Parts: sequence; C-alpha cells; structure tokens
Amino acid sequence: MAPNYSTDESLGDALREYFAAEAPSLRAPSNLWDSLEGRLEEPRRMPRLRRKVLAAASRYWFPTLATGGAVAAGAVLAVWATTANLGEPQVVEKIVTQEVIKEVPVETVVTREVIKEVPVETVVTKEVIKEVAVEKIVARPRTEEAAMMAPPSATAAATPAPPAPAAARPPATTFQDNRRQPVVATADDAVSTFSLDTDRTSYQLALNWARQGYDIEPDSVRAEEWINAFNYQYAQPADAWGFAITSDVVAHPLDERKHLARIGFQAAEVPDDRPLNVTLVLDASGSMRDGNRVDIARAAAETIRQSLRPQDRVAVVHFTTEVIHDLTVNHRPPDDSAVWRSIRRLEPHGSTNVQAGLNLGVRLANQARLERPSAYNYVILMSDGVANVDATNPFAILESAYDRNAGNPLRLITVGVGITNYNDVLLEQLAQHGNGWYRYLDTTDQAQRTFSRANWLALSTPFADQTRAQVTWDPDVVKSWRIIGYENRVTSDASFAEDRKEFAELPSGAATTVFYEIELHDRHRGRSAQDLKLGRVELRWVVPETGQSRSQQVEVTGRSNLGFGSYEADPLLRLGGIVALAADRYSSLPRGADYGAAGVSTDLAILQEELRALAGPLGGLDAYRDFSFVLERMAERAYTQAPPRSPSGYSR
Amino acid sequence: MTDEQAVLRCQDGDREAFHHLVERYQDLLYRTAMLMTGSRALAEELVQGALRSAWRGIHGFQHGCPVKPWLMRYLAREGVSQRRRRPAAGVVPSGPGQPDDPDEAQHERQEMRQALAGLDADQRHILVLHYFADLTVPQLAKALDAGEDAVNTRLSRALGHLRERLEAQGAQEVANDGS
Repeated sequence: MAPNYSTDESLGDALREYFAAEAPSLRAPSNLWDSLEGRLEEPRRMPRLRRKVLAAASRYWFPTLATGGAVAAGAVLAVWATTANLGEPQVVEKIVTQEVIKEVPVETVVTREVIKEVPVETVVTKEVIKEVAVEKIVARPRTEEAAMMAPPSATAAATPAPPAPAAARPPATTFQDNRRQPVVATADDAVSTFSLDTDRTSYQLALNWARQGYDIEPDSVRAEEWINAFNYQYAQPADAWGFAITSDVVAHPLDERKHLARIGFQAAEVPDDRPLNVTLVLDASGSMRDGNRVDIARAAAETIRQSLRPQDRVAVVHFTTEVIHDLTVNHRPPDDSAVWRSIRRLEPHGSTNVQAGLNLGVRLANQARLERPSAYNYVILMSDGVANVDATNPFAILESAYDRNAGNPLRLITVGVGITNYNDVLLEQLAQHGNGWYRYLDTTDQAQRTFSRANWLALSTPFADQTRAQVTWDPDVVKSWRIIGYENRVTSDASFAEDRKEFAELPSGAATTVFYEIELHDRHRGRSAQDLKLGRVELRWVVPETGQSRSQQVEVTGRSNLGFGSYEADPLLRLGGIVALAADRYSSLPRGADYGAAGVSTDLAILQEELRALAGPLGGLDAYRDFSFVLERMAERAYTQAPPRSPSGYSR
Repeated sequence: MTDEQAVLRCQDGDREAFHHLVERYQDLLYRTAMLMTGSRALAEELVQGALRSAWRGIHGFQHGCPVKPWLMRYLAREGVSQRRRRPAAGVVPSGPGQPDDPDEAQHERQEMRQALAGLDADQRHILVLHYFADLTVPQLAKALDAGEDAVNTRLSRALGHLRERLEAQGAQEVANDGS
C-alpha cells in the first residue's frame, strides 16, 4: 500500500525516517582533519591568486632584470629602494605618525560629550594637509629620476609589485587617513548631518592598483566613494526639480545584532541649454611622463572638446614650472583649430606649479564669465597632483581660485591620472572646496567614456549646489547608529541650515547613496511590516540657476526582517552593503576595527562569500567582476597582515 | 573539554581545540552534506569549506549558544556558495538501498531517494537541514540570512514539490504495473 503523504506533517515524518535510515552508514573520511589542517589558514581562492601573481612576476620582473641591462635594473632597484623607504628615513617617520592616528579607538558607543570631540565642519585641517604635501615632495625626486632613467618597459605602471613586501605600496603616493565615524547612541544624539558626494575616485584608484599588482592602501579608501562608484538603478524623481529619496533596511551580514539602512538620493535628469565656458588647465610637468598619464590627459581634453556644442567656448592652459604662454588659447569655439592643436601639443617637461596654471585658468575663466554671464563656468584641472613648486597644499592653491561670485560660481573639476607618485589629497580637496567634483582616469578608453558627449552633457549641467542631508533617527526605534564613510563630509548639525560652499555640487541625474549600521530596539526586530518608521531625512540644496534654497523631506522606512541573503532583498542593495562594509573595515587597517586586524580578515572573508552568492543576478556586470577582484586583493592583504594567531604554548 | 571550552581556546588560535571540535562533529556534518549533495566529493568539499569558514569566523561565535547549529549555519552557507560555483552539482543522492529491493521499506526509501533527487538543490538542502540536521525555523532563517516567513514558505514549497514528485512516481508505477 502506498504511504500517505497528504499532510506536511506526515511527509515530514517520512523524511525524518528516511534520513535516519540513510545516514548511519555514512562516515566522514578518516583523513578529513589531515587535509583540512594544512588549508585552515588559507583564505579561499588564495592559491590561484598567488599562482597568478607569481606567474606575472616571472613573466615581467625577472626577464627585465636579466635582459634589460644595467640601466633598467638600476632604475627598477631605485624604484624599489624608494618604495621600500630605504635611504628616506624621514618618510618612514611620517607614515608611522599617520598610523599612530589610527590607534584612536572608534566603533564604541559614545556619549554626546565624546561625539562633540569628533572634528566637525571639515575634518581636514590645513596643517595636516601641509604635512602630507611635504611628505610628498620628499619622496618624489627619486621616483622621477628612476622613471627618467629606465626604458618604458621597466617603469610602466604595469610593472608588477617587486618581491619585497614593502614595495607592494605604490611608490610616493599621498593619502590621508580619516578616522572612521563612531557608533552613536540615539538617545544621546539622534541627528546625522553630512554633505552629499558623487566622487568615486578612491574606488577607481583601488581597482587600478589591484590590476597592477599593488596592494590597496587602506588610507586611500573613502567608503562613500566606493559606495557611489556603483549604479543602484534608483527610480527617477516624479518632479523635475527635486530628488527621489529612497530607503531600505536589511539584516547586517556581519553582525546579527544590527541592520544596514541605505538611503539613496537620485537627482532628476534635466536638459539645460545654457552655454558653457570651459577652461582646460593641463599639467605638462615631468611627472606626467610616468606611464601613459599624458596620453590619458590628452585623450580626456580632446574628448571634452569634441563633446562641447557650438554655443560653448573652451580655453587651454599648459603649465609646468610656469605657464607655457605659447600654448595658451583664450576662449574660442570648440572646433577652432588653435584649440585642438594646443591639446595635441601637450608634452611633459619641467616641474609642477599647479598654482601658476590655476591662476591663469581662473583669470581666463573670469573674463569669459564677464563676457557671457549666462554661461556655466568650468575650470578643469588635469594633473597627477604632484605640485612641487610654490604652493603645494590645496588651500594655498585655492586662494587663487577662490571665487566670491555665489550667483554663478567657477566650478573646479579635478581629473587625476597616474598610479604611482600621485597626490590624491590635493586633487580631492581642490574639487571639494572648488564647487566641483573629482574623477580619476586610468586609461585613455576610460577618459573617452567619462567625457563622452552623453556623459558630459549630464555632468556639466549643475543640478544642485551646496547639497547636504540630515538624518534624524527615532530614538524609540533605533538604539544606535553609525554612518559608513563620509568621514570628511560629516558636518555639524547646526551647519545644515547654512548654504556653504564646501557642500556638494551635484550634476543632473547624479545619484548619491549612504549606508548606516543601525541597531534596533528588540521590540522592533523581525517585523515584517514594510513601513517600520526609523526616522526622517531632509535634503537641502541651492538651485544653481536661481540661487534659491530648496528642501525636501521624507521618512526613512524599511522592514526589519529582511535577511541579507534573502531572495527578496534587492541584489544591488546587497552589493552596496558588501561594498560599504568591505571599504569601511579595510580602511581601519592596519589596526583594524572591532576585533583588530584578524577581525577585518574574517569580515572580508564573509563578505567574499556574500558577494559570491550574488554571482547569479549580477555576475554579468563588469562592476561585479571588478569588485570581486578588488575584494580578493583586500582579503589577501588583510590576511597577510593578520592571519589567525597560532598557539603560544602558554596556559591562559 | 566541553564545546564551550574548545571554542574559547580556538579563539586564542588553538588548532588542537578546533581539531577536537572537528572530530566531534565531522560525521554529523558529513552525513548532512552527503544527504544534501549525494556526492562524496561534493560533500567533502562542503564540509571542508564550512569548517574553514567556521575557523575564520570563530570570533563571531556567541558564547552560550550551542555549537551544532552554529556549524550547521556554515554548512548551509557553504551549500549556497557551492551551488553558485557549481550550478550543475545536483546529483542523485546515493545510498545503501538497491533499486529493485523487494522489501517494502527499502522500496519506500528508493522512492523517496528518487523524489528528493528530482528537487532543486535549494529545496533538497532546506529539507535536509530541517528534517535531518534538526535546524529550527529561526536557526534556518539565521543560517540562510532569510526571514522566518521566507523559510516557512520555502519549506512548505519544498514539501509540496516532493509530494508532487512522489505522487507522479506512484502514478507511473501503477501505469507500468498495468501495462
């Protein structure tokens, strides 16, 4: 007689019986521990990656030494010596100082008094940047000298990391460590205020380094730029004048007590026929000779020229130690032959005086603004940021570009090129304080894509100036919160009411995303209602055309029972969460957050698992594949720094 | 050494303590993995992967919680991960029974084996984890990073599909007997 499986209960009983009868004969292989033990401390997929790195090293590195002759070998060794900090003890000192800053414990629930000690307004101070810039100059000459001595094959950025561990850091690059934001008890402070952001350079740099075999520098990781490098496909706003603000809540993949809250701000796409005055300020200094950075800058400048419309005007300034006056072109129509000839003649020589270039660029832009008051005004600086003559810190350089015309400001776009010998702080700060935005380009293809006509039209149409957001958490629902990234964009709650120049300028169609780690009160955990109200978010900005202040406010809602790996969770939300947490945890190295560096290593391994689980829905995207590769490099670096501890032999 | 003591020592990096935990749970993990995958090679890969993840995640262990569901959570996640890596890994679960065993109990087991083999790997995994490894719905929700409602739905769907397959097999048998 056929068994009765009509109810779930009877079928469940039958399954239990079946499993119980099948299982006892099964025994784990006797050598399971032996084969497991050897691989216990090996992150997944490490062997393959190691093989790849070794294969690349033997392909490029050893033949170079064997056949490249004494000059190449000497040059490569000089680069290695610089990167390993041999013979430059003062650089070592500076780096140690930066690392000491990191040892301030963050990530603890702090009271209101302590929060006040976290620098507000702008986290970066002039002094800090000056010090970083000095470090840059000290480190630079040897690398440049090495670059000039060696044939291109030995110095190209594609050279894999030399075998010495210290050389895994790209030589002579300058970054600034920003302290991670602390966990805040909502009962003490429920309000989080920050400037929006659409830069994505920190991620582009990391991707480029990973591709070239370098370690990703933890100080270079600004989580908000990693988050905003990905397209979350937010819906367009209903009104052409405002933003679509969306919020989601999902379980935290690394901490069972917490959730991740995502808030997305999508600006409307607005066509705008206002003409543009564009001033290209091109770095023609010797350091631009490294790799193909001059080709990238030339390609970017030429693509911008081709993307301009007949009603637009473009000027070109080349600078080295001084401005090269022979190549300066005043504002003309983009198809004027003098413009493209000048761009084509961009060649590297001499040292770098960014201030001289910007001074003239700003003067030309100002003239153009007076002549055509209805046009938007862009000054576009293309450089590796290695300013070594005159002013070398962003604030001194900005003195020249400071612009009091609030109604129609000059907008400073900075475009970074170069892997090594690169000053990220200078370019990021120039754009942030210059009404503009910052992009990093690593190939001529990318230059052409970024400034293609369609992209350029959106990027060059300002949609919202001085854009900032304020999230107010409901203390009855949210026990504590912590913003991920945005360290140098978090600002005082009081400043929210003011229209300030350093707040973000967003182009048409821009999207910005912010993630919070939040802990809910127990009574609100596991609730399936879609509309659990966690608080509200207000956005304020200035309309570029009219100078009017605008504001938009919505509630932050979500459901607290959505599992991170659940099929109901939007794969792009999950990707964003993984990106945010990976960047956040990695940026805490070398000290590491929560459980120290070993904890970071574990977190990254779990995030790798989570990312693999998204291969189905997202595996076809370049962005997914690139980030998988980046995360693999990060996990490897974290693991190398802090493998699980071996037994000490002592009792507890 | 209790499980709790072993975990504490593991958190200090003591591999011998982890060896102790592995010895204690390896058969259970392996049985579960075999029922999930039906292949010795895949089961071994699953158990190895789960144990390595557990070692890396040992600092995340919440003291006072039992070790078995904690390890099973890694096995469940490894199952998801393995399936993504090897989408074609759904194989017929093997077992000691012979296909044409005249014994009725053996026959029923063969029917069940065949029906389970016809399910999606996802569905087979959740049934094994619930009805063999005894993971409760909240534990499954944690292991699979899903809500409890979602786990209940998935369990009920898996049972529904299993029932359909058993019924279809029964009907086929009747038809074969008739012909």
